[in-house]
Amino acid sequence: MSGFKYAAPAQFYPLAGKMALWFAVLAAVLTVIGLVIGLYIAPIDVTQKDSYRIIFIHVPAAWMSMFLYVVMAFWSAMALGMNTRLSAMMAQSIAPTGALMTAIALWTGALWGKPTWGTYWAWDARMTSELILLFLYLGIIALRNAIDDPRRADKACGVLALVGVVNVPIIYMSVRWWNTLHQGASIKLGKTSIDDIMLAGMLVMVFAFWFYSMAATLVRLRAIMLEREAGAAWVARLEEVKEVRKEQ
Amino acid sequence: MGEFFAMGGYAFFIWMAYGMTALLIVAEIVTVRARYQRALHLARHSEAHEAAAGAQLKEAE
Repeated sequence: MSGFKYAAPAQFYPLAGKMALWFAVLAAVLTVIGLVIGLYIAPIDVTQKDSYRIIFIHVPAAWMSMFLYVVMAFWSAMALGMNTRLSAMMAQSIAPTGALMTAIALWTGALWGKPTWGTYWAWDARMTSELILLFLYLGIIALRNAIDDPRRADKACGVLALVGVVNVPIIYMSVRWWNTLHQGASIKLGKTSIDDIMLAGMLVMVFAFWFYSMAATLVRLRAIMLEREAGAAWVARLEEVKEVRKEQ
Repeated sequence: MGEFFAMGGYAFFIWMAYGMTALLIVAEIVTVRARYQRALHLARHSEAHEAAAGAQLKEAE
């Protein structure tokens, strides 16, 4: 089976629907497991007491905010370089979910900062660069809304997404490059500094957020495909489009 | 149960964090699904499609 087969919207549309359904189910199941571990089973932290439990949503959201940006930039580069319309639609479908994950990371971070550092916000490198990430996502969404021609919007948003990708390694490395209020990474290969059950709960939530993000993005991608290719023959041949037409 | 919700005195921070996260995710699910339904509705009633469906019928004949 060739992967290129799915590079055409007509082939990818039904596959995206199936994937979205399964990813949504997995996300829901993993969220329940992750929340039970994170809020109930995991013991309290010696220094941070119960306030550390914000980690189970903060870290997954923060990781997804960066990961989604890189994926969006990748599809933007593909769209700009290869001029493939599905790649541009993929990039377009990721931005709102990326913005959402960034907003969750910032919000939960503020609520974690207050009890642990005594402040909701500081202009340190980690927080400032994550805020810039939010502005990049919102800027890309606003830029698309400001340009009527979707193909021109693809190009403009693609360039902005690629320029902005330089911010991702800055976010990631900020706690090492600068002396930040934000702590360094707790999860490192070979020398993780948190308890096993805490780590398990956090990884379950990371997968839950990952599957959720993919499901939301794929459903949005299907909507974008229909919006942008409404006149195309492959849309007219879809069962869900034909059915209603017969009834009328 | 009360002890669980009290979160060792950190209830405000924990539930504001988890509550807002839940709210934002539910809001995204609702808006994404609404956008898909709207796009499907537009596709069903697109005039170009009426023509395409007509052409398909002719092909079938």
